[in-house]
Amino acid sequence: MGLDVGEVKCVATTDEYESTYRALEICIASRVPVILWGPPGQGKTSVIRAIAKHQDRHIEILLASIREPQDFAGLPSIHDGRAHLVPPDWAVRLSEVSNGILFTDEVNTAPPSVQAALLRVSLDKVAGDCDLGQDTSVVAAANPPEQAADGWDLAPPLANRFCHLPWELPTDVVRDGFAGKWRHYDVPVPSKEAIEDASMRERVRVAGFLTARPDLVTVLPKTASEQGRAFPTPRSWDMVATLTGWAAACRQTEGVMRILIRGCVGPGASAEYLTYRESLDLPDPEKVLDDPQSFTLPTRTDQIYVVGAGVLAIVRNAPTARRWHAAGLVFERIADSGHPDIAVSFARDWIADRPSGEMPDSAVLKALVPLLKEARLI
Amino acid sequence: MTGAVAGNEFAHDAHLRVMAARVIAQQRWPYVSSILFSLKLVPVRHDDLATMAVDSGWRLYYSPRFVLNQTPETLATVLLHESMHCLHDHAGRFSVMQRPKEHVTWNIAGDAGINTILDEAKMPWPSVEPIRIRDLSQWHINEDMTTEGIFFRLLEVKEEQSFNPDCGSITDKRRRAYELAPSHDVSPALRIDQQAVVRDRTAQDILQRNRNHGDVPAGLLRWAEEILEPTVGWREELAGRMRRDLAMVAGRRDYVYTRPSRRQSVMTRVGSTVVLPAMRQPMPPRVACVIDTSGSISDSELRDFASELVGITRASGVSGGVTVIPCDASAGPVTRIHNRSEIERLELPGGGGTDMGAGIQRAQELKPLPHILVILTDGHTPWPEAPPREFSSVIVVLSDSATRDSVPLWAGVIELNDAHQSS
Repeated sequence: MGLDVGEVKCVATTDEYESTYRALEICIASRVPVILWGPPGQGKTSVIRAIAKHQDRHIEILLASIREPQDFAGLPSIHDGRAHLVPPDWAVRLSEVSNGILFTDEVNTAPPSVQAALLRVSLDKVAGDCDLGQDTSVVAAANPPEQAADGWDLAPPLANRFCHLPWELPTDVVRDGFAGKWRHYDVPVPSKEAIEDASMRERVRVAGFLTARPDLVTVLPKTASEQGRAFPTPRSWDMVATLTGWAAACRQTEGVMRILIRGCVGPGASAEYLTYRESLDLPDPEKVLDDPQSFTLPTRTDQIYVVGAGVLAIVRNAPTARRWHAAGLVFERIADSGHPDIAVSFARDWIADRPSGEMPDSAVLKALVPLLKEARLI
Repeated sequence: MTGAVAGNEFAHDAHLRVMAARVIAQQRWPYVSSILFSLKLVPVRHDDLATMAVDSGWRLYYSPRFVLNQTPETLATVLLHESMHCLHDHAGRFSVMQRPKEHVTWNIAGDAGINTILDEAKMPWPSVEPIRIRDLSQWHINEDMTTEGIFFRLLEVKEEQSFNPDCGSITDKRRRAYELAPSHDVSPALRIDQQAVVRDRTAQDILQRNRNHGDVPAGLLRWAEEILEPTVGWREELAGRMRRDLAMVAGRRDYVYTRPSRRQSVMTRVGSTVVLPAMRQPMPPRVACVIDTSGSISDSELRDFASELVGITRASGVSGGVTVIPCDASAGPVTRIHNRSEIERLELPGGGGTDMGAGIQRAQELKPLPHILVILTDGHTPWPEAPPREFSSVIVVLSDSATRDSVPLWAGVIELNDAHQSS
């Protein structure tokens, strides 16, 4: 009776649904294999049909749980003493259009040998002796093992090739759907140049992050069920770069980015990377210290705080008199922009680290003192 | 109309007071800075809002008269209270439950949990005493329950509450009259997806703080861990591992080319050259478990575990039941259980001394040999040097996570975590 609902809610809001929907469209458009996790009957198939129609692409839908390995690996057939792997008809149709979508439902209720055969299809886009073409998109759907009557966790090598998206229909989407209006969100297909530009930028960001955090390059989860979901490896970081490049090129929200990154590397690594990525868009603390009068303050107050914290951290690492005074000017500017409380939250540590013989400029004090007094900190 | 108060000295003082409170709140809990400083400060007329509230776009509205009647210290507690509504995403969680009429009950449920965390941190309150979880204990509401849990329990008891809190649309997404437009040019609402990113960052700051200082309130730490390091319950974990191992052992419904298909002759007769695989279906897999009866594992833990194990094997199509070997310093009498009612009758003698090696050895002597061996123990035991190669898989279920590193590498480890027992 709802008592065992975790602190993290388990039904999606409409906003989350929209972001996930858009994330799915980006995965399909960028040819990154994607897997949807959710209970049966959540409209996964019809959404993917709608996306295929929007992107004007041929779609093949298979039910993995009633398939056999040969349906993915090809039927062995002997001609002239040589074994050929005869491709199934869906593979031939996909190879003819060369940019189709292969949607495989219920992959985790398929026996391990079928999953293994599926691995080759999603990795190399090859079924039997039939090349589906690198332009084919691979989409899968699975019921969470605890919900599937007879499910297996995905094997880690297969799981790591997919971007994992949670899929659940919010009540109001269902309500509108029954009233005849299933929601559809169109993600524009950006130009090739825009994607290449953005992907290059994102690749540099991911590389920078992994240089700073080598411990997050590969993190194998401890438990078997977590190994069947998203976890960081060089391959999944590569998917992060591709997907965020696409998302940036078609101007999607941070929410879509977040879902895509979580889907590739899992929640922990995703949060760290997003923080890093966001900090790259903020003024560099060293440059701010060099010229405290002219840097641009971010408009979001939480980002002003991040800039201030960055400045304080680098001053404390190398506290020369010049840098210390420059930090004071930064805090004065933050205070004068209408956020003395943000400035004051750094003031204590800043004053405590005062190089001997230095006193804060009177203008800086003037900006901070009224609030320090009100908060009874002096 | 937003009811914003024109700038005068009174308004200036009130603004300064709220900022002072925010500074104090930040000094108390630096790890929630990201949320605290995301809040935009908006004064409103006292007639519209008599206290303080936050909207679903993370804008903090306050009555100047109210804040000037508070000390910065008590006001800081109120600010942290409001921040925790943002942290816990109470608006989003309420909207998915589709119970719009019950918003007051939901606000009470959320407040009780939040205030209990603030109490734990010994924060000073304004003159009005806020609601705590202990005020609801008569309805069997306790601190291990989620906001949803408390909410549904309160709905069940249908008791009139003397509290009537209104923390703003951050708790229920219902727009209030004093709220600014979402796209207000000075104080725009923070978008839902940006809120999620700020929450992620806060969770990260909490985990970091806990690693470096270890002084984060337990309630906040649990929230952060669930956001960034979600753990899988031992039941799901055991089921997942068992299913995979059973599938590997049994090869049930699996396909092999090592043996020709029974239908191959048909293919040849019709002139086809296609080679069909055969189905592989060996003997159903056998599962045995060694149970540490030396005393440190409680009876309820034990029966919980045995019941889960029987459930999993039955659901996976294993018909032969589970062989149970009780073990303290030596292995006890072997029994076999097939269903949950047999678990209730299960007699497990035992006492001092622990050597799981004895139990493993007993399992190695079983005829026929089990394929999968599951060991329930607290881990305070010697282990055999050599891996028991008779079994295709050995799973150790630990009741004491401190001993995790002493378990040999040849066994898979699952921790019996407490979190799931309370719910």
